[in-house]
Amino acid sequence: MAVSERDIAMIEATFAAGGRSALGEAYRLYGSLVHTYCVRSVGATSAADVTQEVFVSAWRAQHRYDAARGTLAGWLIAIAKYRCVDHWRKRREQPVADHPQADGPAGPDEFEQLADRLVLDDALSLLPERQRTVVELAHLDGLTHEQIADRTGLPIGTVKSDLRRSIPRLARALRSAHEVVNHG
Amino acid sequence: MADPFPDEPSSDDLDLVAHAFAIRQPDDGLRHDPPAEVWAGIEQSLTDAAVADTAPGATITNLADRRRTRTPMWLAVAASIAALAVGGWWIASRDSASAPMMATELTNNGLSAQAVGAHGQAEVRRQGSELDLDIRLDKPPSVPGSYLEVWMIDTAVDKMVSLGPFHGDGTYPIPAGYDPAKFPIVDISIEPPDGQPKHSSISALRGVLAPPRSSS
Repeated sequence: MAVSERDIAMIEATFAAGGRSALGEAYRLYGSLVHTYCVRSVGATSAADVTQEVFVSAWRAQHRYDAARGTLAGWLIAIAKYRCVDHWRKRREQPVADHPQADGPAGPDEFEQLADRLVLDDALSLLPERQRTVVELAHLDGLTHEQIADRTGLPIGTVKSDLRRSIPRLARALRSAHEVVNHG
Repeated sequence: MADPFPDEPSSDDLDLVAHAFAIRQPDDGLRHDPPAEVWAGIEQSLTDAAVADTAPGATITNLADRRRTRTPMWLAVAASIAALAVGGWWIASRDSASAPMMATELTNNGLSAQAVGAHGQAEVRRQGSELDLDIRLDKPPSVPGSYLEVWMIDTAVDKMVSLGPFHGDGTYPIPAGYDPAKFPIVDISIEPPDGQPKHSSISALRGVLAPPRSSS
């Protein structure tokens, strides 16, 4: 599904006060992102239930979302992270025989890392194509500004301005995924 | 327009991004869509919570969850559109009795999953001294076992008036005394046949009336 920048700006501006209809819009935009996180954290069987819990938690905490502090995608993933950790904690408290695959992810780092990876991917997908290419050449391929300019044929000033525009956007998304969301 | 990012990225931002790139995996872009029952389950949980919050034995009241909390931001937008509407409306209404005075698209955006893809239009027209709401649904929702009802809601989502069950494309008279500029939200709800006269809190389609964009 193509998500436009306009959709994102609109939902981030209205989510906190938007009630049930804004929650529906958030689900339309981020249902797959959240569900993917849950599938990969708790497995396909439990993911539907946990995804549901995430959005019900998001509804309870809706008024606490602050677009000035980060993206809605990251905020929802922060809730998903909490819900998935909680899922495994509850499972460990039950007899293992009932849950043969009750080990779950190795440790808290895995929940954090998966959150960062999915949130980065989501935020990258929203960048204009040229900015995305430039930032990937810089961070995935480790190229210098000059090397990126040579590779892409872009003026070096454009390379620099693409980076200084895209890095804060990616960081904003990642930072919100690190928030501790008090969602009751 | 000013450059929103005038400075070099901060080292904090660079560290965060560099760390996330360092752990990136090739399959991070794969997505799993949630099964359809997930949204139905969320809606049910929200409705259960709304019921639990009301007095014992009370039935679900219309849009109670929204009224109890705060005015949604989108309604602030709606209110300003409505304010603009009043000016344009006068101009439009002087010219032609049959041209719509206000209009809106009706969409399902973010509303009930039972009506995904539903779409239509609503227009306010003057008939003599009365106002009518003309509704056309080019993609009506299918709601087996329930029916659709037409509402006009004020910008505070505090007051609403029913224009009756939806009986197909056509004209729905606006009760005398209701000003569409003050009740600009057109809402088509999904109503179970439960004998309750109130809004079910399940909306299939919605739009905010505003003057037509160009009236020459």
